[in-house]
Amino acid sequence: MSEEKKIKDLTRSGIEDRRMDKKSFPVTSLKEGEEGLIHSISGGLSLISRLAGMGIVPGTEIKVLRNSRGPLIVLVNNTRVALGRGQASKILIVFDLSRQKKGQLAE
Amino acid sequence: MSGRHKLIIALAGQPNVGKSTVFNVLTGLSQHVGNWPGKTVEKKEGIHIYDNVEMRIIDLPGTYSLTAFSEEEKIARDFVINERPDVMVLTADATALERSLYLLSELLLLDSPVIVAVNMTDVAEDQGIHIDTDSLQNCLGIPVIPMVARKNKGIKELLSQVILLSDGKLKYDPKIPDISQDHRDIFLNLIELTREHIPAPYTARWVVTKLMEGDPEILKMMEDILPGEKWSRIQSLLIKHEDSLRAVVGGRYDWIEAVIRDSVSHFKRGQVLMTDRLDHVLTRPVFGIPILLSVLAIAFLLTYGIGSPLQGLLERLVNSFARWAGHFLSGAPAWISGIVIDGIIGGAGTVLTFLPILLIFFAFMAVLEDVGYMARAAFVMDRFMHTIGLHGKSFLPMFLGFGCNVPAVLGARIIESRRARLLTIFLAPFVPCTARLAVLTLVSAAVFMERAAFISWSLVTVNILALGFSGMLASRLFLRGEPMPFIMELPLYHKPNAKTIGMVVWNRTKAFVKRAGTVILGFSVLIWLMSNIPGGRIEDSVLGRIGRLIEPLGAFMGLDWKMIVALLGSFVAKENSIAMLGVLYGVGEKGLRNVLPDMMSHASALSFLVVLMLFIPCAATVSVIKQEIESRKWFLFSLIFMLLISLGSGMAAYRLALLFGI
Repeated sequence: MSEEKKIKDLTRSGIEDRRMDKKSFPVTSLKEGEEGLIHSISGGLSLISRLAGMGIVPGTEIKVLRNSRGPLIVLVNNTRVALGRGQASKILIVFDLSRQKKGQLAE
Repeated sequence: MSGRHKLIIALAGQPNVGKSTVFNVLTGLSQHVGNWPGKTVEKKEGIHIYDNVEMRIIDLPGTYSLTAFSEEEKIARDFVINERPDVMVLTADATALERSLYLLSELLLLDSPVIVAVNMTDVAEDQGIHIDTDSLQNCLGIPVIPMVARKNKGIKELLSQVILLSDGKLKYDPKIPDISQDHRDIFLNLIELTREHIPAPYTARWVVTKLMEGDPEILKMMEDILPGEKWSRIQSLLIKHEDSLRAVVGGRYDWIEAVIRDSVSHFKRGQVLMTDRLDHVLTRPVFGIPILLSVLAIAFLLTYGIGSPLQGLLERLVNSFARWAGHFLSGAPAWISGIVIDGIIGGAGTVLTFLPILLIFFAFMAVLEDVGYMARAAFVMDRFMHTIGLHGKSFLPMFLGFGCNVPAVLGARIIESRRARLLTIFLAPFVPCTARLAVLTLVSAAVFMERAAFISWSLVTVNILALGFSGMLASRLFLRGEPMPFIMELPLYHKPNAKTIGMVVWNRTKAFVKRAGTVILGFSVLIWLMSNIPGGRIEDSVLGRIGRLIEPLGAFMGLDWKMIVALLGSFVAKENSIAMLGVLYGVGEKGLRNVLPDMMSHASALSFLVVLMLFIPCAATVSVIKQEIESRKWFLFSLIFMLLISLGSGMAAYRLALLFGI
């Protein structure tokens, strides 16, 4: 099992105490063209459920296509979704491990 | 349940997967568009006959999931649960199978058998995505058909599988996703607690899943049904495991991942799609906004460039038809020929001459929608729409308003939040429709001569400003609330599909013609009667008297009673005010263009036009507002608001015009 897959399994089926292991931040802080791994959705049931229907769930890769002022466009599971800033800021991500290896982590 | 010769088929699918293409291919012109009972959600159904089997095909609302967080989702699942269609067809998007399977994971919990139609396999292959349908079929345990609905590929195979499945002649052994491991115990616990109390036609598995998802409707239902002690145990379980929704969703995506791993392979990677290349330009504010404005300008140029001459042609046709009817009815009593010629043909007939303009405008809009551009326009407009308390999604219905306010009000249905929908409907009548633009151009050309274009543009701007002002006011004063979520899929761009566009244009136009044939026709006759009873001169008629009664009020705005009557007549249909001015000023042979400059001062004409542009919308629009707004209070408020703002602006325009000596 690859490193990447392990993280996915942790986040997807959700093991509560591992949640805080990684430093997560909102997807709004990614620049255009950057990718991350969805860590959690810190929103109400209705938001979580709507995003889940569009494939925006923990453990999935997310790429930011457009992020200036106003709404964002993200790419998830080959689907492009426009999100208001408010909604997007509730999607918490961690950097993809592959990128982390390349030393591109912000910290 | 499965009849031998009649089947009920429900089409399910997420938005933008080509479900309506499938529906159009299957039903063609047999389709009927109405409403779900008691709801303002569109219901489409039609008939398809295949192999001696009559299939009644019901198009469920396109939804991403089936939780009762939106009206559409409730309708879709209630239909399946209560009506038990013989077969459900899930249209899936081959380019994004993961999320299509999410809806499938919900459908499988319901009782009707499901067939998966994997659509757009050609686009997927182009993107380097190969779907092994045999393996997909094995993983899911249900029939899977590859399809390219736009090219009519796979439809026949789908239908024959539908029939085989309904006859029980196909292997059907669906593998249903589990709740993720860490929540399995609470799931079983809940099943135990509720088992004896599940009302038909629900199943325990479905109800418990919904409880864990926090579905408001099912929570309420179970609270009412269960004995208090059991309910409080369930409640405390749910509170203790407040992350149950995540477990349900997680379990579904674990299942999806396993299915995808075995049946989907990617053979090209890293290619840049046409969609991303286009979006790179079209969604960037610097380019996106000027491009949007140019696209809209082209829409208007095309609409009026081609539509106006056609409208003129139709108008002459209607006029000669009226003359012919005059001859035909020459023996009949005057009131009959009056109602037919001036009332019906002159009123409702004139409205119908606007059909070509509307057709072209709707067709252009439908093309923009179908190729995927409208979602980008909504994205680009989002930040501007925020200043009036809305978000990007309201842009499309509003823009349709430039054609006709009726589809604009109906189009507000695409907006999920009730508050935003209400506000969109409230603001839509401020968008000047083709009929108002026609009156505007005619009167300003007659009165203002060389300055006509400037006046027309200024008045259109006044309407847009009034829209903005009213939006800001209403969203801040009356419709306050939390910011509305803006979540919208941007579909892949693709070539326009004639059939899909044709159906959209057909349905929108039909809505307009239906109103012209009913509401407008009725009011045309009513206005004719009011202006002819008691007989003799129009000055002495009911309408004339009403006009003169309010004349003192009109004096503030520089309107004489004739203009007031014309404004009242514009309630039937905005174009009507031209015909009424013609009658009232006794235009006769000279033509309105020659008479108007002598009859209206510049200031009065300006005030008249301002009021007309902002006045209470036409009868057809009012009737759809009443139907869609679902609140008497808001309906009345909207009418009074329009009335006040139009009279206020008219007065301001008149006073300003006098002040500056225009």
